[in-house]
Amino acid sequence: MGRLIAAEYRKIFTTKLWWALLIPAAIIALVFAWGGSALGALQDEAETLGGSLPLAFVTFAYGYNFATIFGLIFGATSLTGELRHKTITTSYLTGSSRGAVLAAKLFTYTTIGALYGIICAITGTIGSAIGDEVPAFGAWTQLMLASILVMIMWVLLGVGVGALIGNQVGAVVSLIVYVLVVERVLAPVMNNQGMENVVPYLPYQSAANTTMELAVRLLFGNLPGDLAGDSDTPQVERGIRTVLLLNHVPDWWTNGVIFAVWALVLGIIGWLVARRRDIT
Amino acid sequence: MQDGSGRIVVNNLSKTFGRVNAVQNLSFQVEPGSVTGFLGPNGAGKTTTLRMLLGLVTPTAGHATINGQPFNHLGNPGRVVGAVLEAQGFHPKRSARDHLRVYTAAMGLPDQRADEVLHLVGLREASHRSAGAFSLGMKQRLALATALLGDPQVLVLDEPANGLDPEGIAWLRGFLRSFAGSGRTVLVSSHLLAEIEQTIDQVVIISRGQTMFYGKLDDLRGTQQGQVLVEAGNPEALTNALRGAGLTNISPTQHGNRLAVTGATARQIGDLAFQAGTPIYWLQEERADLEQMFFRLTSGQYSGAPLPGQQPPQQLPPQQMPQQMPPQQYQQGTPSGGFPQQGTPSGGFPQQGTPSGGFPQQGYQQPPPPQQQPPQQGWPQQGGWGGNA
Repeated sequence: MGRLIAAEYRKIFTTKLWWALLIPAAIIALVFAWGGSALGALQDEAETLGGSLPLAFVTFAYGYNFATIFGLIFGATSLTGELRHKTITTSYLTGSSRGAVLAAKLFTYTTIGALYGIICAITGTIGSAIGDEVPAFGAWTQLMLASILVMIMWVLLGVGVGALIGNQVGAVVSLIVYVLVVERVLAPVMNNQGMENVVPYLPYQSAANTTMELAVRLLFGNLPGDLAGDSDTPQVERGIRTVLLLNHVPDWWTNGVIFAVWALVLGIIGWLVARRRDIT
Repeated sequence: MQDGSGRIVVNNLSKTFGRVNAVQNLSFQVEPGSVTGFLGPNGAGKTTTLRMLLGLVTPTAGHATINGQPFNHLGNPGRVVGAVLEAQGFHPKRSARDHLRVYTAAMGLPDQRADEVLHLVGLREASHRSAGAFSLGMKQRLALATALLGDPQVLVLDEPANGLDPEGIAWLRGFLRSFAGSGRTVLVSSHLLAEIEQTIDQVVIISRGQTMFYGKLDDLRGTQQGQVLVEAGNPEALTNALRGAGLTNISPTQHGNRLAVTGATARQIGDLAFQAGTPIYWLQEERADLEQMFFRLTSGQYSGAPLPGQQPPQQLPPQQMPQQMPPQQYQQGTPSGGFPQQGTPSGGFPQQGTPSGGFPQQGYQQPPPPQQQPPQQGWPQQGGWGGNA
């Protein structure tokens, strides 16, 4: 297994895709954290409130939902790229079993997902520091750790769906359309149809809500002096949660568990399907 | 556990894709120390069979083993079997060396092995170039290098000559001979018998997914008796004399008074004609022709419509084909070259004392040792080697 994992790393690092997709993800994390941080530190506002508003929590979490798409695409190319270039034949001919080759792939891509998440956490922190300052260290670290886990799950989900679909273009396009269009339309419609308790169980919703719910929670837990004790603050938080469709959403970690189940289930299904697929 | 024999056993293998029976109940065995040709026309099921042997396609029925084990029980299969398959590829942006290093890692080999095999197949100079920029022949060499990485005991090649230049083909033949000569096993598929005739010891011929012949090449030759074509001044008298001598397998040919006599030698017929008092104007001995037999064994599948004035080969009495089908008609799709030539100035077949269009009957040249191939060997570069089953 160690040999197959080493082979997978060589496959990844001898081509350019891994950094070509990592760069935009890292830039998005940086820009959104920077913007939120700078916005929260506008001088008049900060003077009125008695301190900077840690908006970077929420803007980072919002932008991160776009950054994760690059991790998802990277995952989706793992097996489909081999099918497309027909290197899968050699991979299967040199591995002890298909199951082992695919398991090595899942493991390797999980670690690359962690790399993506860590790099985005670093650039997000840098962006936040450029805008104003990094918000409360413990809270910020918590959000970063959650975002790294979400990225890992996205990459894993991408590997699974790619293995399931097989065709590279088909897998990448389906995933992008689903994430950027289908759920963004479906979620508000379902909310209006009285299915707001179902919506958090959709894969993209559960992923986005993991970081978003945590970010909103951390934002209101780390308000500057005057706002922290204000009697209107709980009402403002409810209002913001309504705008962000977080009203009926469970705790951030529950969302994380739901999304992890999605990623694991799709990863395993992809593994099972790819194990049986004839390579012709 | 593996028995270490290097033997390939294919046992009642069948594969159905939807309604198509790609392979039906195929059985054969490939012995170590020999090169076995796996022959059949395009679409006969060769590639599917090889892929089932290599665990890439799951058989509908039957099984195939290498070293007494199915492929997925070989442990580190790259150390046992190397394969060059048609649907085997390279990432276009990955260099040849990096490509090989992926698989040295997978097999647990030292990285210098990648450079060794690149040197072996003559790609050392191109090792840092992207595989996407390679020519077809270079890709084929890289595929062979990949197959040889694990220093395997068994080599499986699907139409390996595709895209190789004449020098490359000659090199490949020599390589396969010496590979098998060291006691290892080679199974090589082709849709052209002439392409691998001098390389192989035994042959499996399939058509429509079924085995048509399996055995030694010499045994295949032995299945068909040679014949003698004779033109006598008095055919009736000669026929009677032949019958009197127990030679009853006599058939007229389309060519005037000529007779085709099976199971006799030219000398016998000359003696009998002399006793019968009839002159002989023309006499020719024809030996069994592998190419013809290959046509007969595999005829019918996906055959094209006959050209004007040409009868489809499978409808001809096989013994008479050389007369009725001038060699040029076999060269459709081979615009230049044709078959290996030895001193035949214009696109013909190698002829050995046969006045009318003979087919290759004996080895034209012994396979040379690797990389010592005289350049003048005329192998077709295009067309004739193309396609795949």
